Amino acid sequence: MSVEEKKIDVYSGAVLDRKKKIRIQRGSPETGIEMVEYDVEYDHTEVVLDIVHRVQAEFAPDLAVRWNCKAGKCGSCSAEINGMPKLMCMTKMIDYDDVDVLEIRPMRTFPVIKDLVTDVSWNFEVNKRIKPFKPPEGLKELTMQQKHVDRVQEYRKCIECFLCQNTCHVLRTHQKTNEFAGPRFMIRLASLEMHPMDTEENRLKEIKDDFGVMMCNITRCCTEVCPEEINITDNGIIPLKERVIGEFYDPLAKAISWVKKLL
Amino acid sequence: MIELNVVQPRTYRPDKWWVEPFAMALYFVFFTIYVIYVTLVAPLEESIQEWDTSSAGVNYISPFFSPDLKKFFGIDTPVVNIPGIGDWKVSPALLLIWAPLGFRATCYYGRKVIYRSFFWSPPACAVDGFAMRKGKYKGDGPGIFAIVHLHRYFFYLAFILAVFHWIDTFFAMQFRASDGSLAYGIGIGTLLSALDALFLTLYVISCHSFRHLMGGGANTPGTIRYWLWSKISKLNKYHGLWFWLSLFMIVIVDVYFRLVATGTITEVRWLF
Ligand code: SF4
Ligand code: SF4
Ligand code: FES
Repeated sequence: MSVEEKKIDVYSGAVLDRKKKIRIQRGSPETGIEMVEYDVEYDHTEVVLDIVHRVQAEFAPDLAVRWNCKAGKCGSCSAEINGMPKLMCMTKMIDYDDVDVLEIRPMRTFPVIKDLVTDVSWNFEVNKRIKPFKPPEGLKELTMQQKHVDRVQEYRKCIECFLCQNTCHVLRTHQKTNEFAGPRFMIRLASLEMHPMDTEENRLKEIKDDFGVMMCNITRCCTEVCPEEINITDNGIIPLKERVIGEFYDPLAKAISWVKKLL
Repeated sequence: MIELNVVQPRTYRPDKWWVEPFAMALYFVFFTIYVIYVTLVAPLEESIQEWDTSSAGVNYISPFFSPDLKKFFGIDTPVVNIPGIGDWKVSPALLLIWAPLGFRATCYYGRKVIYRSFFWSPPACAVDGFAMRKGKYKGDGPGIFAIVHLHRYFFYLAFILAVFHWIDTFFAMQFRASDGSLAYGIGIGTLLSALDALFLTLYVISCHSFRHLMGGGANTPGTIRYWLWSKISKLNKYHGLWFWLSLFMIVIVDVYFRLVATGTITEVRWLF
């Protein structure tokens, strides 16, 4: 094919020399939900979000999709692509070159508003329940060693895409939204609990009782889907569990504190 | 609280998500059968009852029998007569196996495998398990399973075990010539034994509980603890890999030593 014959996307300059059948979940609980099929052309450099935009431009101007940065940094474009929770803007189309149909659905754990857009406000409600960072009283300047905040900084990479919340089976399958705050908030709690300058007391008890760290059975799906590659389970949840066990479940530690009380 | 989505199929994933949990379950089942063979069945057979690699001129000891209760603690296990079956020597492996098994079963990685492969809770990511939507899920370590919280104590036992595996590797360098004199050297078995000790050590020291003990539990650990914690953290990333490598090695070494002990294969070795 000569250059002139190639179909070019006038906005992006993409060379549309590949074809794919894609199905997108459309509708809302009020109007009914269905899978709608589109035949799209794409370029080998494009990501799934590009294709969704092409569907919007060519076939369905009313298709609802949330996105902002197209750079994996705003955390808006979470969806389920062939059943796997992913950021649409960080998933390459060529990864699906050998599948026949590409199915795009909204995150399953959260209620659909319309098409690919879900209502993730439950997460913000959980966030409000977490007591904020409390520095020592009367302190003017926070001085601490970098090495002591290294691990906290890993959790700071979170872009709040809520893919982990969506995938965690405690929320997704078992719907324990009252008992468990979910992996994203486990790492937020870890960043506070492990902060060298945080003076808020009782965090550990809240992590156990109010936020339900023990509901997590460390099966690591949150870590598998996190686009920021935060090691949520090994670096966040398990260290919290170890602290909780040390404080509340460790038989030896219990015996020691019991003896201490006696003395 | 916000009502979440309505019931949907178990998963929309078209890929082979079941391969991993299935393969892992298969190896666990195989391993369990092998453990039953080593601890309960093998001691019944005459040839293996006294199974002892010294007859083959080597000083190898299978990881299942480590530490050697007779050599280090002078404990000789009794022979019991089971009516209708015959003489059965209580296998030292039977007396020892609970410690490493306990460590593995309460391990944060081992539990992931068990929850995924056997309880299907969940079998794979974005796939619903069996207990779907019954509201019965109780989290990690409910009721009797609270034994998982004892992982930190199993760690100490596993650590001692790892030390003994290195001692075993040292003894695996001793060979007996046909005139009975002692010689040092390296055989295939010595190398396997060293690999076993290495993988077990990596598995044990990358333990999450050890990491917690060595600084993970403190917000401002001191210099030494911080150093240890950061090194353990690096190994901890591959905890699952060490878990599998050491679990494979145990079986490989045991099979190999049995073959040497029974004279099925003649070993290649280099004597100094
Ligand atoms: S590791 Fe825990 S928090 Fe993460 S997905 Fe699994 S159960 Fe949920
Ligand atoms: S932890 Fe990872 S998956 Fe979860 S919300 Fe943050 S960036 Fe997304
Ligand atoms: S559009 Fe911002 S993360 Fe995908």
